[in-house]
Amino acid sequence: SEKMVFSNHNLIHDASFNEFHLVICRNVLIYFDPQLQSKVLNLLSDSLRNGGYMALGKGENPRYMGNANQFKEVDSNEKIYKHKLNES
Amino acid sequence: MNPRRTVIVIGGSAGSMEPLIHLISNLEYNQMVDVALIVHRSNELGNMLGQLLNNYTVYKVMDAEHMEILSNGIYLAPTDYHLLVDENYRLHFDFSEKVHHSRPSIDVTLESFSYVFRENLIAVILSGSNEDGANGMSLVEQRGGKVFIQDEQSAKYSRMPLAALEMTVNTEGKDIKELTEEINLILKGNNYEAFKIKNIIGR
Repeated sequence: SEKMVFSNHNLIHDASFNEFHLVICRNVLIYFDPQLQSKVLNLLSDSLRNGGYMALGKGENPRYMGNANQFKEVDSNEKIYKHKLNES
Repeated sequence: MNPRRTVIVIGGSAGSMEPLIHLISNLEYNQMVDVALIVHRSNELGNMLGQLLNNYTVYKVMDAEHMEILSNGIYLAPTDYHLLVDENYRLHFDFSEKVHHSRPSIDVTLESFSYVFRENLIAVILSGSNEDGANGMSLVEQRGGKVFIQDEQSAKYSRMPLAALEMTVNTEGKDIKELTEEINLILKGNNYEAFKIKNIIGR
C-alpha cells in the first residue's frame, strides 16, 4: 500500500494531472448533462497515455456523449475503451 | 383528441414471461405509443431477452440506452440500473441503491414516468414475488394514469400483483387476455369509460 496514492480530484474543475495506463470511471457520467459528459470525457482522454484503457459503467456509451472518435471500443458489454492515437 | 403520446410501463418479475409475451404479442400497433419494460432478471441470462421478445411483437424491442429518446418502440430497462425519463422523452439510467431489492425497480420507473406523463400513462403490473411497483402504481393513479394488474388467480407469483392491488383504488386484478383487450381499447381511442360502465351493469 506504499505504492498507492489516494487523493481528491474534481472532475468538473480540475485539469488532468497524469497520463495513466487505465482510468476507471463507472456510473458517474450518467448523472451529468451532455455538455459536462463531453467535458469529462475529454479530461479522461487527456489523462490517458496513447493506447491507454478507459472503463465506464455498463450503461455508459461515449457514442451518446459526442466523444466517439477519441476512443476505440474494446468490449461493448463491459464498456471498455482504448484511447486512440490522433491521426493528423 | 389527445395529441400527446401514450406511454405504457410494464413491470414484471418471477413468472411474468408468459403474460408479458401475451401482452406484447397482442398489443395493437399504434405509432403514438411508447413502451418501457421493467423486468427483474439476472445479469447472465438477461442479455438475450430483448432479442427473444422481438420475435413476438410488431413493435421494435430494444435494450434501452442512457440518453436515448423514446420513439415508438418497446424499451427494455437495463439489468442493474434504474430507468427514468425526462420531459423531453429522454431515458436516463441511475445507479442508486436498490428499491425492494430491485434494480431496475418498477417503483422508480413508475414514479419518474407518472411525474412526466401523468394521465397519458398506462401502467401494468404482472406476476412477481416481491412488492416492487406497488407504491409506483399508487402514484400513477394519483396523477391520472390508468393502472392494470394481473389477477392473483392467473399470476404465477401473486405477491407483486396483490401488493399493487392493495395500494390502488377502484382496480381489480384481471387475467391477461382481458387486461390486454382493455389496453387495446384505450389505444384505439374508443370510449373507455363507456366500456367500463357497460361491464358493470352487465350489458
